[in-house]
Amino acid sequence: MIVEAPERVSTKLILLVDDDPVLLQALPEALQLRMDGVSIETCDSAGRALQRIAEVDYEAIVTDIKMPGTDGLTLLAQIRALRPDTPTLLITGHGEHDLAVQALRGGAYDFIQKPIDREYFVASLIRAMQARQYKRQLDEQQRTLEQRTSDLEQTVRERTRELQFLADASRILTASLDSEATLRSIARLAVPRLADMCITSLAESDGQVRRVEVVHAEPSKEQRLRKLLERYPFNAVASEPTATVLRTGQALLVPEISAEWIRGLGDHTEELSVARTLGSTSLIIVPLVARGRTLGVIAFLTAESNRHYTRDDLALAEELARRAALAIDNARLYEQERRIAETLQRSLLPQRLPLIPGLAAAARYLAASPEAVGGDWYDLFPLPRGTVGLVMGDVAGRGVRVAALMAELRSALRAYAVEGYSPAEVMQRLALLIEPGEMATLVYLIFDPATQTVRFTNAGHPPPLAVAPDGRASYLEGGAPPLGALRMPSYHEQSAQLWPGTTLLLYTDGLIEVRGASIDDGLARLHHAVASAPAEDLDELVDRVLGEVTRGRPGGDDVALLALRAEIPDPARFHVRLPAVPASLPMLRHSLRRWMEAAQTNDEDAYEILVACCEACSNVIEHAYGAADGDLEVRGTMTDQEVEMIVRDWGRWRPPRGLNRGRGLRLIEELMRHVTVTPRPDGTTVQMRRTRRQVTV
Amino acid sequence: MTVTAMVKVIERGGVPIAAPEGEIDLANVADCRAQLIAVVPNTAPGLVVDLSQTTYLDSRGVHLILELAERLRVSQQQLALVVPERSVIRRVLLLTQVDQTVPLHRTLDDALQQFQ
Repeated sequence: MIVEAPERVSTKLILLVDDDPVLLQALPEALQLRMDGVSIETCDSAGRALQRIAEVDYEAIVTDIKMPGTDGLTLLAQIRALRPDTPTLLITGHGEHDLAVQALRGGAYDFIQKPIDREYFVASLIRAMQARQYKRQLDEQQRTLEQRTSDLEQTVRERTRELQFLADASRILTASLDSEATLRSIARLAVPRLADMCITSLAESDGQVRRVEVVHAEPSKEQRLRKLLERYPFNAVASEPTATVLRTGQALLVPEISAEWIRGLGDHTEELSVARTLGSTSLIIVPLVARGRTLGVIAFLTAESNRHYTRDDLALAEELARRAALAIDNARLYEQERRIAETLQRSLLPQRLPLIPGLAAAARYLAASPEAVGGDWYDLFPLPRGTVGLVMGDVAGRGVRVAALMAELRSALRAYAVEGYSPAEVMQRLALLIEPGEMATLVYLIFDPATQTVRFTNAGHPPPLAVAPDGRASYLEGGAPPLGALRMPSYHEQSAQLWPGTTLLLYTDGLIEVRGASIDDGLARLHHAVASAPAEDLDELVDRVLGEVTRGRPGGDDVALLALRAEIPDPARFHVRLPAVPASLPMLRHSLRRWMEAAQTNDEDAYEILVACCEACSNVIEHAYGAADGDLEVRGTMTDQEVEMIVRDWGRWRPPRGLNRGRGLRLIEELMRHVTVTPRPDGTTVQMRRTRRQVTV
Repeated sequence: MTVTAMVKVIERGGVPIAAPEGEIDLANVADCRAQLIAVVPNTAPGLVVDLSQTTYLDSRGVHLILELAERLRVSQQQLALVVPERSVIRRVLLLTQVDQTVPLHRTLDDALQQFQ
């Protein structure tokens, strides 16, 4: 039997189960009178009640405990199983305390004793329903909370993935200082995490755009994409919307690439047609902006994944682009600085070693890496009276500042050296050029081939090595701390007497400091390498030393190596080749004197041969090459009776003019007796011959 | 390497004495010329060029001496050279007949006699 209550939104259904028809009649009325918004259903047996309970979620259930067939306690257990949240009240007989306790133990919300106190009954029922309501709200809040937690966890997972992605990107970006390699790696990283296809492009200085990398999630399609794109080189019209992003510096997000959208771009969107051919569905193009300039773009496209980009994806793409742009900008700045430093440093190393008669020299420079430029330098220059200046230096650090200090030290050293300052005086003056925080090691030697002596000052540089012709080698020890190490340094001069034909070897620490080996090992290896074949050609020597000492695995430092040897003059023969410039004349006279001394020529003969040769060479310098560069060559042969000198050039003589007007040639003829001048298209030869005066004893 | 010819200058009885030390050649003759011309005041009777410390001299040096002699002749001043007997450069000066134009003296005192 169902007693219908007026339909209300808040109507709450209560089920009343009892075998007593009087109660089934009376109780609903009593409840209806006392409670708002409830409607009561009645059942006269537990069996029927269970059927209803299975169908309807009642707000509360009231059941008599004593019923024929299934009793109230059994029904309670069944309700607990079926609807654990539904509060159930049991009606017990008067004084049936045991049953009441059983009911409560069985999960009843309350028990109502007969005779029924209606006020108590209603109050209990209302409490039961409120409790149920609270429970429901609590469950709802719990569910909401769980949902929120789950959402948050999801967000955290996504953010973590993004951060991981950006962290991976940052690692790539900081790993390389090569902007193109960086962009290639970024494209590889973006697929498939952020895109199915990724195309990175750089704007060139001439306004053209070059695609740096094209990546597709499927290798076979990548080939196809590349081929398709190759057909369409970047074109400001055809490459919309890339061109727009480049021009405006504003990112573009197209969640859905529709045919209409493509049509809207105009007729020439070849690039996008390509993407469309490969089934792309969604698109993001972000500009690479650094310091207000758009350096290029990254295009992300989806296809197979059928993913549609959102604003979140755009934010991630923009963040990636921002970092990439910074890295590229840094790489370019670095590249620029490296190029400047390299140019500066290379310009400081002699293009070719000066030709100094009677001296053989060879030098090598090995850069540790193409990326960074070290501060190593060497120098070799002639000084007055046939002496030679040798320099090997190493400014601590790398880059433009180091190269600039190197340039300063090199020029200052040359200037002081030519002024005639001693090695110690030069070093003392160079120490004043060093700013706080700067440091350089430097060794400066003055070598006199005539006496085979060296004077030198060493500021913290590895010791030069002197190798006698028989292979005996010794380091030229002694020195002071590096330039910049002390505020008031004091430098002293050292000197050494060398065997004739000694090879001097100067080098930077990069040669002897091989990773994983001590400096002493390096010094010993160097010693061994030069001692094994001391007299070979200097070019071969320096190559062999480089190979043996570094053992093909140079350390992290640049290596500079300079070798010098004074040749022992052959009394029978003389040969030098020099640049045809006035500065060559003193050098020529010096080596001619050494030669004639070796050939025991008397002073008068020596002087006259000297004047004759220099006259011929002066003519070459003045007349053979004009303003162009060129060489002159002097050959001599001497026997006991006769001397023959040949001066030749590779220029074209012009008629004598200027100061001398043929006086030189007349002088040569007076001094040498037999003089032949042979002009040829490829140069002129002056042959001079005379008998030697016999040495008067 | 350009060697600057060091020209030492002293004065004796109103006559400037210039002594180039080292070598005079194509590389430094212009520098040397400038230094020699600068040492002769208009009031001086002339110039003594003391070549005793000169270790090399070729036709450029010869030309310089002849040019100097010509300039001084125009300004009514005299040039005298000091070339020691044993000097290696004497032969070059004789071969180029510098002695026909400029008197060669064996010592500085001899040269100064020319201005008495």
